[in-house]
Amino acid sequence: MVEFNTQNFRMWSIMGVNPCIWSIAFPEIITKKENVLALTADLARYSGMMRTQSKYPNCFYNFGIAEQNMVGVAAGLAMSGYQIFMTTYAPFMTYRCADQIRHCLGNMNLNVKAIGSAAGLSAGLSGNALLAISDIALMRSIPNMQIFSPADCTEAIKIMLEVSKTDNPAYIRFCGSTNIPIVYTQDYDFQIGKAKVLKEGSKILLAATGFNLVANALKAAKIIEEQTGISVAVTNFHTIKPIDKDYLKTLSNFELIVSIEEHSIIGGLGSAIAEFGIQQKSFPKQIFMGVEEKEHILGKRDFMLKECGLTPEKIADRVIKELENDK
Amino acid sequence: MTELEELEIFSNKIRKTALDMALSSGKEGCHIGGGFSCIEIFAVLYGKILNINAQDPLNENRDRFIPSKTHCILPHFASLMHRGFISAQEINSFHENGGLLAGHPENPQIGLEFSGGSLGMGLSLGIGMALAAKKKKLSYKTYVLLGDGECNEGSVWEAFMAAAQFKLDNLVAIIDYNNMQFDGNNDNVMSISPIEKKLEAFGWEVISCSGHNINELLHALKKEPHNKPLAIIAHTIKAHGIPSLENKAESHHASLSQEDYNFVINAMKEGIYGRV
Repeated sequence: MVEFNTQNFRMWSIMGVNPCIWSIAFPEIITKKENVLALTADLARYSGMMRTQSKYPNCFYNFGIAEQNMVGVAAGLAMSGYQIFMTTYAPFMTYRCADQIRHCLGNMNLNVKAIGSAAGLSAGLSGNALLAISDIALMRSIPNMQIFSPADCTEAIKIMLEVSKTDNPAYIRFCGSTNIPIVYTQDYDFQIGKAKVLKEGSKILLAATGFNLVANALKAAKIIEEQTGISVAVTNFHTIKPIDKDYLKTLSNFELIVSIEEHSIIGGLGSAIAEFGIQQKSFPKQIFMGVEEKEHILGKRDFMLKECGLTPEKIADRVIKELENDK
Repeated sequence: MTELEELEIFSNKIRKTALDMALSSGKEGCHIGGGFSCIEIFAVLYGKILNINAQDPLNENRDRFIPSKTHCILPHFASLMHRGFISAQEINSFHENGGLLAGHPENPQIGLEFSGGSLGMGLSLGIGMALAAKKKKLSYKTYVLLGDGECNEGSVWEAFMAAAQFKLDNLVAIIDYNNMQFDGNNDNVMSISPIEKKLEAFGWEVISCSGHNINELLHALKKEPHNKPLAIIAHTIKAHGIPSLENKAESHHASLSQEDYNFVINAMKEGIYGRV
C-alpha cells in the first residue's frame, strides 16, 4: 500500500519520476487489480520498468523499437479485457503513433494509458526530433482521450493510481525525470478533472501545469506580489482534458490569467482555457506562456526553460511588463 | 454432400448477396475489386473455420476475425448475414447515412471485431488478441485478412516481426494477393514480392495457394504450425469473375452494371463462375 506522507514525498522527489511510476505506482495497481499489463518499446531500462519486470515478469511486454505496433497490440489486448499501461518517449508515443492512438484508442475508446516520458523540452540536448512540445495539442484533439500532466512526483503516483480506476484511454506526460521539485508537502485530495488551487489570490491567476513549472509559478507569484503588491493566485492544472470548467467559471473577477506550460502556446493548457473563456460573456484577459514557434537554441532542459522564459524570474518579468502595458 | 460442395454453395450465397449489395449502391458504387477477390476466403472462414455463434457473439473463446484490409465489406457483411449476425434488411444499410453498417463499424455484437479503414493496424490488433488468448489459456484463434497493397505499410512489418517474436501459433494472417493496389499493379507501384520468402525470413510458416480454390484454402487454413504464426498467401484476382471489372485497378471502388450482375448470376447457375 502506497503511503502518502511527507517523508515519502521527499524520497519520491529524490528518486525521480520513472521509479515512482514503475516501482511505486504500478506494483500497487497490479497487486490490487487483475488483468493489468505494461508495454514498452525498448525503453524498459530507461523507464525503470526493468526492476519491476523481474518481480512480475508476466505483466510486461517489450515490442522493440516499433511503437506503432505496440499501440495496435495494446488495443488488441484491451479489446480482450486487459488494462494497458504503455510507455516510450513522448514524441514517439504521440507523433509517430498518432493514427493508431486516434483510431484504436480514441475512436474505439479503449482502456489504454499512454505514458510519454521526456516530454516538453526534456531532451533538448538531443535535438529537435526529441522535443515533444505539441503532444498535448495532438492528444487533446483525439476523442475520449484524457490528458494528465503532474506537478511533482507525488502527483505522478496519484495520477497513475486514479487512471487505473478508469476505462478511458489516457495520455500522461512527464517533463524531466530527476530533480523534480516538490509542490505538495502534505497529502491532498486528487480528483481527475479538478484543478487544484495552490495559492489563493484575487487579481492575477497563474494557471500552470507540469514538473517544475507549477513550482516556478508559485515562486513567480511571490516575486510579483513583492514587486507590485498585486494579489496573485496559483492553480495546478494536473488534468488538461477534461479541463475543469466548473473552476474556470469562477474566474471572471480576475484581471489577468497567465497560462504556463512546457508546451507550444498552440493547442495546450493555454488553448484549453481560452477555448472556454472566449465563450463566456465576461472572462479575464489571458497571456500564453510556453514554447513559442521559432527556431530554438537547443540545450539541456533547465537551459531551454530559461530560453523560453519559463523560470520564476522570467515569468514574473513578463507578467509585470504586461501589467505596465495595460496601464 | 461433401464439405467442399457445401462450401461451394456457401460461397455462391455470399457472392449473390455481395452482388445484390453492389447493385444496390447504384452509380455511387462500392469496393467491388477487393471484395470479389476474397469471396472464397470468406466462404471458407465463415463456412467452416471460424468458431463463432450469432446467439453468443461475445463468447470469450470465440475465434476473432480482423478485416484489416477493410475493402472487403461486401463478402464480410454477406457472410455475417448468412451466419445470422445481421438481417437482410440491415445489410442494405452499408451505404445509408446513419445505417447500422455505415462506415466500417466496430461492433462485436454483430460480429464486427474491428473498425478498419486506416490500413496497417489490424495485424497488431490481432497480435494483442492472440497474446491475450495465450495469457488466458483460451483456445480461440485470431485470423487477420490483409491486402497486398496494405503490406506497403511499415507498421505491418513491425507486426510481422512481433508475431514471430512472441511465437504466436494461434495467429493466422491471410494476404489477399490480387497484385493490384489503388494506382495499379503492385509491382509497378510498390512491390511486396517475394512475399513468401520475406515472411519465411521473418519467422512465419508460409503457405501459398489459390485464393479462389476452396479446397486449397481449406487445406491451408487447417494447418497448425508449432510455435510460429501462419501466413497464407492467397493468390487472387481483383473483381474476380466480373467481366468488365476483373483484374483492373479501377475496380477498387466501382459501380456494378446490370449486365455484369446478370452475367455472374448466370455463371453461378451454370456452374462456370470465374471463367470470364
